[in-house]
Amino acid sequence: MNWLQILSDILTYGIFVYSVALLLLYIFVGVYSIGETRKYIHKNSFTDYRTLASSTYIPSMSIIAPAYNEEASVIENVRSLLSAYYSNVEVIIVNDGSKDNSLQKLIEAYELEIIPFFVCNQLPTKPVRGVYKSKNAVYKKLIVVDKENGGKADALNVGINISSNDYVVCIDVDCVLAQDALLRLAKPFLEQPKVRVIATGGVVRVANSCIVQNGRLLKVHLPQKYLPRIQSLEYIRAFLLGRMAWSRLNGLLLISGAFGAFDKEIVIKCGGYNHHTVGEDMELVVRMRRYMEENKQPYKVSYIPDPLCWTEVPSNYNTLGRQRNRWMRGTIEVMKLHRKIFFNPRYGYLGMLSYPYWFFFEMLAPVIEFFGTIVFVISACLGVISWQSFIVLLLFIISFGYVYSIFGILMEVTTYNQYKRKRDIGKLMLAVLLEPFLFHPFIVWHSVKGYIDLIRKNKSWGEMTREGFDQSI
Amino acid sequence: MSAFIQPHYLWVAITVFCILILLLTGAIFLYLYRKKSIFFANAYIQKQFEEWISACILDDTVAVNQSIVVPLFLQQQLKNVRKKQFALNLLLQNKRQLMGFAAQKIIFLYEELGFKQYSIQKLKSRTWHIKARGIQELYLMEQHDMLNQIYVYTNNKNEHIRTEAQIAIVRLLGFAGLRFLDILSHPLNEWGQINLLEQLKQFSLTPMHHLSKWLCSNNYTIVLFVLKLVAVYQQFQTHDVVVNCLHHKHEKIRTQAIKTLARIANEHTATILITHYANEKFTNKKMILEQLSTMTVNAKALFFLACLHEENNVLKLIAAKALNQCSQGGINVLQEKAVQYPKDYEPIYLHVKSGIGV
Repeated sequence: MNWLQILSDILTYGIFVYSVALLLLYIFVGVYSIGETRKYIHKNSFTDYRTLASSTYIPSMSIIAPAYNEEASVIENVRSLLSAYYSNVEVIIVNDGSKDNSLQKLIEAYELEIIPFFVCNQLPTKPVRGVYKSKNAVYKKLIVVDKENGGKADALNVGINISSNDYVVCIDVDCVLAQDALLRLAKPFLEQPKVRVIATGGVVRVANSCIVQNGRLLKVHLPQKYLPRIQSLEYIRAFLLGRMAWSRLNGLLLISGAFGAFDKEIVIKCGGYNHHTVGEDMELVVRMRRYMEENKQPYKVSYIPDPLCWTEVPSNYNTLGRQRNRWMRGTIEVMKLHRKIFFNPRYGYLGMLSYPYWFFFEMLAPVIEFFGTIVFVISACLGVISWQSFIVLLLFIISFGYVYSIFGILMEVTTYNQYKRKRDIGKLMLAVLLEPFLFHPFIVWHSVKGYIDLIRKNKSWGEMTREGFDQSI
Repeated sequence: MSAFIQPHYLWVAITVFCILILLLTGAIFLYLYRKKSIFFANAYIQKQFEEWISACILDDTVAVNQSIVVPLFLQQQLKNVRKKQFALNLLLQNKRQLMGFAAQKIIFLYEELGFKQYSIQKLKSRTWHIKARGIQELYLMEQHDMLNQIYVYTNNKNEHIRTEAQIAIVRLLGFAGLRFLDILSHPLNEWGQINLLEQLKQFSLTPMHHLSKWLCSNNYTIVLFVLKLVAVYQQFQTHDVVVNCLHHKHEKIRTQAIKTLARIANEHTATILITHYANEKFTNKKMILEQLSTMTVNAKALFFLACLHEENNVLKLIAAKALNQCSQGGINVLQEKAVQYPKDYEPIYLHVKSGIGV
């Protein structure tokens, strides 16, 4: 046996073991999520949210939405946030040094005036230029903060400093919320008497091609373009299967930056959002969990499967590539920042399960897949493995991917069933067929580029270009 | 290991996956088909059933305690369990929206259509969510004769069954229903507490004799709930027991005790809270300042003035607001501070002067 053969064997069997572990994990996640989602749906079947809606005893919440160059849609978006069905809430819009007329538009539309607000800098941030409130009592819930540009994390920290309530709901300003989103998000914080719920996440769904009017989602449509369509399937798989399973294990490391609620006291104790990473949403959750573990306080990060938040996803390859590149850089940065917990039994599930899972199967997966594919192709070309074996292995992986995706669709149909027409489900299934050849390689490549950019110290956020929602009925 | 990646085994796996794909696809479309049929069937029942309910409510000849004739089509539809549940849901929906005589008629229809037996069946179910639903149906339909059967579940180990049973007892008995607190050994979560407080709003206050006992309970969630109860219904007689709660090991209880004391304050309360201030952490210090500002005792001005020197800006700001609220010359004191130390106090002074909430 020569050295080439030994190397080839190590690579082949290494990749094989890794792939088997990954497939088994997918099966586990798929099956394990069913129980959590079913339990939630059963529980909801006799829950009367109207009680909470009209109650004066509900916890107070602050919605914090950073805005940067959003003049085209900011008025409508703020209107959507103000219409949330919750009695004890304030809406804080943080204008993160926009170069366009976002602030001026807000001032005009909501009759804002500057007020001498004393900002208690519990979290260090870039300077605040001014705090605005409306002269019109109709908008008394609204606070607009103008600050120097410092990025999303900095803007969110300013919002937390300004907020006067117990819980903060951090969202992207362009998200469309279901009217009862806050009520549903508040409930997990009230349900756990023995542990402290430090954060709750909600499902984010794809709003491309949906009809949105006056900041409200009127009709759900399956996205017409391929990219948003396949992302809607990706979101279903990630939120309905992945996150529900991890929520059941109390092992969630990520609550989407687009929509999540946090216990403000713990956020402040942890030092708020980190300015130095593009994965600030995941980093905060990991740091909050670390804080609770290190202080030996029982806690939970909760997740609810209701489709509460709708967002526009990239519909062209450039924007999508930049987004995935950033997500990967964020993941690597978070893993690096918190490497101390890697297989550290002091951190319980967090150190022994959640972190290793993210390290091996989220952070390393694209690289292993990328180089694994290259190695297999070269091995097949060199005759180390037969072309027949190569193709069969490829078919095996692809067919497993199909099973997992179709299982995701089944879960969606039997639970929330947002796409009601059979034709839409058919289209979604057809999109699945193309995924391994078009979408998946693209995502893997841009994740690998994320590694390269991180090594080159590229810290760019990657601008998101939006097409806007369909307003026609 | 190489045996496992032989093409033969992989082909077997691929075949299994293909079969699974077909089965899952079949299940998806079958489910969608079934869902659509159910939707149309429900729409039909809804139309017929709602018309019949409206007719019954409006018809003066249909009187409570007189048997009614259920139309044949409805009798047939209600033989199907799924349709029966759908019809029952419609009835429950109507009950939630109606009051007075119309609501009584809904209850009457519920009993006449045999739905009560159906709810009792659910109550006996071993599945937690069916049992909880059964309890909910029975209390929404004001089935007082089921009190004893429901009461046994108020300390059930399943939190959802327990919560529904507790709501049921309070809904049916009012303040007297709180007797379940005597036997409760499981936690009463905040969701349950809010629900109970909301239910109690519908009743006029009757004396609660066990408040002091409950406030000393080993179950800290009971203490938390009763503190809220004491605050909402201003049970002044419990003042001294609530003061003891300021020393409870659970921070949440101390926080609530501070809030409650502000609602049942007597001439000593402000001094008690001021003395307690130094022993507390940030959250409760903040709470004490906020609550003190709602109490009208002039002697607190000196305390607030001292708190202006707190390191934490949040506490400084609340103290400044409280000083302004409680003392007539408070704003002048703040202005002087602002002139003396503009960097530290001018923004606080301007904030307080403009009357913005913290």
